[in-house]
Amino acid sequence: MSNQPALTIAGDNDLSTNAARHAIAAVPDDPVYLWRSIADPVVSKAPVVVLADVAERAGFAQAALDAGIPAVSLPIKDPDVDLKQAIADGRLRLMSRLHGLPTLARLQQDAMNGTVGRRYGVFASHRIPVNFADELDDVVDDLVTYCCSLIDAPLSRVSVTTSDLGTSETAGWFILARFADETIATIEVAAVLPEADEPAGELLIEVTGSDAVLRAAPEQQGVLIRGAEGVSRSNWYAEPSDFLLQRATQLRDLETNTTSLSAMKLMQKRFEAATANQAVEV
Amino acid sequence: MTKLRAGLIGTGTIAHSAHLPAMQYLGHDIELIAVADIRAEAAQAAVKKYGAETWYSDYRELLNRDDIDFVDICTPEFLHCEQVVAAAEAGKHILCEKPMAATVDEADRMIAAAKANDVMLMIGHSRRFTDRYRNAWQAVAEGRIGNVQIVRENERRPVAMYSALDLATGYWSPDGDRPWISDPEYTEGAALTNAVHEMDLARWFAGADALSVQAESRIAGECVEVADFLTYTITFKNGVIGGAEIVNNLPSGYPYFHMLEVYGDQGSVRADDPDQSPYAVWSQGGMQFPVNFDQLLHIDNAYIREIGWFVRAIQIGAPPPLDPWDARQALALSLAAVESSKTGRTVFLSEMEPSSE
Ligand SMILES: NC(=O)c1ccc[n+]([C@@H]2O[C@H](COP(=O)([O-])OP(=O)(O)OC[C@H]3O[C@@H](n4cnc5c(N)ncnc54)[C@H](O)[C@@H]3O)[C@@H](O)[C@H]2O)c1
Repeated sequence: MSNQPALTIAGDNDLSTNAARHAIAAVPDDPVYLWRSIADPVVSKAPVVVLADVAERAGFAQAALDAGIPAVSLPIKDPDVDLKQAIADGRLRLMSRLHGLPTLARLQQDAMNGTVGRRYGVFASHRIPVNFADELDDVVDDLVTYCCSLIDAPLSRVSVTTSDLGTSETAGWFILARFADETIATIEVAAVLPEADEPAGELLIEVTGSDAVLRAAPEQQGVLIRGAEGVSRSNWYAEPSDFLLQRATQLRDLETNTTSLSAMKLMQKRFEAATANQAVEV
Repeated sequence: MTKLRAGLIGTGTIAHSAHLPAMQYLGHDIELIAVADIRAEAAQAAVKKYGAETWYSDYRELLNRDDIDFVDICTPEFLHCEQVVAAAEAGKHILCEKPMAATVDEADRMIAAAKANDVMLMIGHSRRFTDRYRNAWQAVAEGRIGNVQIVRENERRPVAMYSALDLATGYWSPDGDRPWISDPEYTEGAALTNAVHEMDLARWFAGADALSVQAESRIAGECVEVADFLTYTITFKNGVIGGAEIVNNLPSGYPYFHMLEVYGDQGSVRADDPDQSPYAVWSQGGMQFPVNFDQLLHIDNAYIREIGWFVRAIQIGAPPPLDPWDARQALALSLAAVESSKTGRTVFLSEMEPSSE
């Protein structure tokens, strides 16, 4: 039994707490350190997985890197020069909350293991309830990061249309992204579904290619209830942290950090392209 | 009601798979007099199966007959302008396949020729005549989803699309080596082959003309030399966003697939295959949707309506059920998407106007 933690999970939310609990249960001999506050020091040299809320991710990642520890993080908003450099040289890697959905974890593996043959395109749409429009940016970044993990090629061009969809703030992002291997991604996020208690909404991911088409609609994994009060769904997703930690391990093992680099560029260039209303070359 | 006497020009894939069977079904209203095609065997097959009196290899001879009331033009788009103008000048009413033409300028000349010769011109945007899209549009028109905000219509095709549906005639190869449908000398590819349908539908559901388009395209499959993959975002003048991703060279077992989603501020309308495919077969080869092509691509009902309503409009002196201007605007959108995908620019529809060149 080792004394040093094998993994540090950063963040103080349900996701990080569950991840720590699951990781401990999965590997009882390797303790996991739950790093709840940036004010606390990093206790070991174990790799860091940042599952914190979006506002805290950059801080945790920077603190880990300052201590010489590589990190895998959920998407980071507006990374500074140091963090960008860390992504460029592979010390910091990015994953998406969507990697925590078992269907999408499987689709990502299939997309990477050659199932589709010559890859043509990736179509991804995420529609969320109108009352969660203020989470739109995070939803876009998660979808962008996930899509880049299906392609694993450098980004070359981005076009963006945004729309308020009849409201007073941006409610839809319509992104076309071209990659160096010619794959074209169509990424659409819009707050258009009726008000709901949960932000999850409806997600569709399709990867097209010469040998196969992969299609995932994760919310179809649910129970449909038709009752006196109408139709409702009760979804039963597996605990996302298991799949997120698996993804973090995979990312650390990758030789290159192309997918994280493309995700970072796409997250940034989308604003530039939207403002310019013109395609931006990368 | 008096029967109208018809001539059909271009007895290829769409004529044999849709127009000729629909005309036969509409036999109480239509008498097929003659067909014309530069490929004798294709024309003769039409005469034999659909009972035309005769066939010509030069379509002008068909137009010279004074016992023909209307012509149905089923040739590739780069021939439409020449043939429509000639038919109008010969005093025939005209139904012409989509896309309307190869350029906006040609489309304008076709509309002008029809007007000058006082004949009816309609472009066969067949999707407008399908139950699927009519039902969806009806729900939108009745205000059941409030104000439209997003129209998305993705379209997928198996590689079989480029091998002419196993018809005896197959696609025409002008230079003898490859079908016109995959030859950059004769077509722009997916933008005109199928996206022009999506363009028309998006504009119909949006209820407005487009302001601008952003697009990306590529050659994905190995058997074509034109873009067979196209994705785009349209901003309409009323703020509606339209989008489509069109992928044409998918594995052979992949079904014909459309995904329509219209979101309004009070609801949405969706018609997704294969979720809504009425028939599915699971076998060792995987899952198949054998009726998707006929039932969802609507070969039968759509063309019967399209041709039947066109004929009825002539018979009763009403305007065509689909104004050629709509087809002209859909064509302009498709060509704007081609331009955007080639240059990487956002293309404004005002740039596509012949006067702006
Ligand atoms: N509405 C739809 O959904 C739909 C579907 C398929 C095709 N289309 C359209 O129909 C048109 C024809 O497409 P297709 O798939 O049938 O192609 P095709 O190649 O199978 O048929 C075209 C026919 O035109 C003939 N032709 C060529 N030059 C001619 C000339 N000068 N005079 C007379 N005939 C001539 C060819 O020999 C051929 O038989 C295109 O505009 C296409 O976009 C529409």
